[in-house]
Amino acid sequence: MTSRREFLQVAAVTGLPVIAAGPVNAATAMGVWPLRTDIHAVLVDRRHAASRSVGARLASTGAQVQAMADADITQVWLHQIGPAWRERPVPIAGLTARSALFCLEQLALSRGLRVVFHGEHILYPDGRTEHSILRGAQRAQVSARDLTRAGPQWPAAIAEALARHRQNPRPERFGPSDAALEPALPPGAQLLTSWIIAAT
Amino acid sequence: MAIPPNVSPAAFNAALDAWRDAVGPEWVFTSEEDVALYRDAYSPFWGEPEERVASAAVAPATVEEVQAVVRAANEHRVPLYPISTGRNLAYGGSAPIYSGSVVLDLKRMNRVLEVNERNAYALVEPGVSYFDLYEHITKAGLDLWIDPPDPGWGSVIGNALDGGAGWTAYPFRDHFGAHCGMEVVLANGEIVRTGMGALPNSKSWQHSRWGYGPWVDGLFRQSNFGVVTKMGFWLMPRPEAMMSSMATSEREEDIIPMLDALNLLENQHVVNGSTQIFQGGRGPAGSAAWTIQVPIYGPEKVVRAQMDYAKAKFTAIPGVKFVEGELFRTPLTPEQLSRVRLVNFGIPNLSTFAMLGRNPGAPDPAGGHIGFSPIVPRTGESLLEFKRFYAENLPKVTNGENLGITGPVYMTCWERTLVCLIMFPIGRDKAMNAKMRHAFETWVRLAAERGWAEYRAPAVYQDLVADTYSFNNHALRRLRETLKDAIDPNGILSAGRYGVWPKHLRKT
Repeated sequence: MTSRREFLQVAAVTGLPVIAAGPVNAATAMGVWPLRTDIHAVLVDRRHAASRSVGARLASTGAQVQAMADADITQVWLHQIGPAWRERPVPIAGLTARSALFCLEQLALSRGLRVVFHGEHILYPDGRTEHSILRGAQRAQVSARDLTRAGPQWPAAIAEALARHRQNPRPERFGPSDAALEPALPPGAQLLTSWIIAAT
Repeated sequence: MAIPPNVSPAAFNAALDAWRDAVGPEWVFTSEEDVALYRDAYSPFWGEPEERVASAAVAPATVEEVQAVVRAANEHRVPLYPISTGRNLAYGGSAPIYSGSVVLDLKRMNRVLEVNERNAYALVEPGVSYFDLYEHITKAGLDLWIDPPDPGWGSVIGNALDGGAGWTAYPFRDHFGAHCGMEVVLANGEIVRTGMGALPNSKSWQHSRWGYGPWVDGLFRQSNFGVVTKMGFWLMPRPEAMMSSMATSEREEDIIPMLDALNLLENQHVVNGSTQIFQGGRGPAGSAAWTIQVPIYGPEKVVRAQMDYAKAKFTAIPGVKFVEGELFRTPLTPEQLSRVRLVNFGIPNLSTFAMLGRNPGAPDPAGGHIGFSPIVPRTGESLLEFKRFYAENLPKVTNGENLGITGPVYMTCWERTLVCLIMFPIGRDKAMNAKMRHAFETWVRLAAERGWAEYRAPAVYQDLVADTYSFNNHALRRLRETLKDAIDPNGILSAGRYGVWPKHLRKT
């Protein structure tokens, strides 16, 4: 039986196969990157360019990038995240629809993992993007202002913030993220959610 | 730290200490952040005083630990609310019916104890999800299917005890009906095994359902008489093939002979799959246009012969067309899996949430929902009556506003009946949630006046629905209360679940 210590222990990255439904675009990668990340897997939504861009950038850090066709996490859960979490509670991250985060958060709770970073990005039809960081801004060293300043390069800034994740030496407690429901948006706007799920 | 109602701080602390001794201090949760994880994300009272919330949680890993937790709760009169995986969204999730109860979280009891391929059964603990059982069977290479509901992340035991249903063949999709034997910890901490399991060293616990003497398993369905810690389930041997055809008609009144045909075929065990009945979309604009799915599971030769027989029955109805579907041989290829509804092939999934969340077809969803799902006799006349009932009353129920209520969806989860589902979006807008509550409550009362009632209800409405089962001055409720008082005299288990309250909390 798993002890609490084992339950909460964050392990090194393991190499499970990528089951991506489609390749991410490596050509969008730019800038200087951490040599490695503790993030085990990164989930992106291939319908969104910003999400694909985050996946491409994080692929170079050793994380397994899973490009989902939509917000349905079933295949990723069955073939990658579920088996990985049965072994160890490894941290995962993503830039996805809210419902994908909600499903993973619910499944994470029984493994002792919580949402430790939660950002939201509203994409308006006129090209503007509005950012808010709901949880974990300080540890991820990123703010909504940083993302706004980055303009169209905001996916790079989010990718860097996700890649910087390290196990917190001082345990924190987190409640639910409230990703269960969808906020009201102006007509034509879309919402992307950036997140990290990790042991606390 | 919150304190359960009617419990002194000293008594609560004594119970917490006893639980820490029993399960380890790391598995007793009292911090605000930890306890918040047990809130019902789809609560129609979210953020309002009426929201049902827990005071703490305790997570045992063995039946012995469950016994110890229950004994301490009994000693200190602390209300417990057992959950299995707690993902029963739209029906209350992990949140207790009686606010302030301590959640007895059984997620750590997640062992698949046995899967027997030759006699096609499984014995599991409450923390085993449909995903877990599917993965266990798949990994072991067993020629068995499970019957997952939609979504598939919930507990096999929890879903059965709550009266859930799935999407493959009868009788396996009736989850409580497909169970065989259970182990239950009573409120006094005693362990009971039902059916053949009462025989020490029984060799047929999961083989024979009835055992000897009065059958008591039904007492633990939708109830608060015990904590189920093991349960057996009969599984479907992997069918050689599945074929789903469609019977369609463009005339409103044709639904009457069409459902008669479906009932005959199902009662003859010719059609064994779960069907849905759709209206509109296939006929000329403005026509009634009914479509009934006709799924059959079994050996390929038998499926083809049964489908021929079903086709003959449907096409004997003037005006009804029969469109033969693709025959799938199992296991399906990856290409086939990418275009079928996975639950119809025994594969658990979470696609529901992608549909309920924001997507191109739903640009502004609330995300959450609750459902009103009355049981209606499966006849065309009843279906048409429900359809009229819905259309006539929707403006009254919603005060003429478009609240985004959808329905009815006609499902055939169980033989001889329809489940006529109406969905209510739930969000974080309190004013809108209040309108949804008014609508839900009104539907319950209006339907009861017609002789229809729900088979299952969201946690906050279990009293309301129980009130509609009022024959002979609530004789059934009084019988259940008599049983509750005998089995759980201190009323510590799941107070209020499905309308059964312990003596000290009854309003009348």
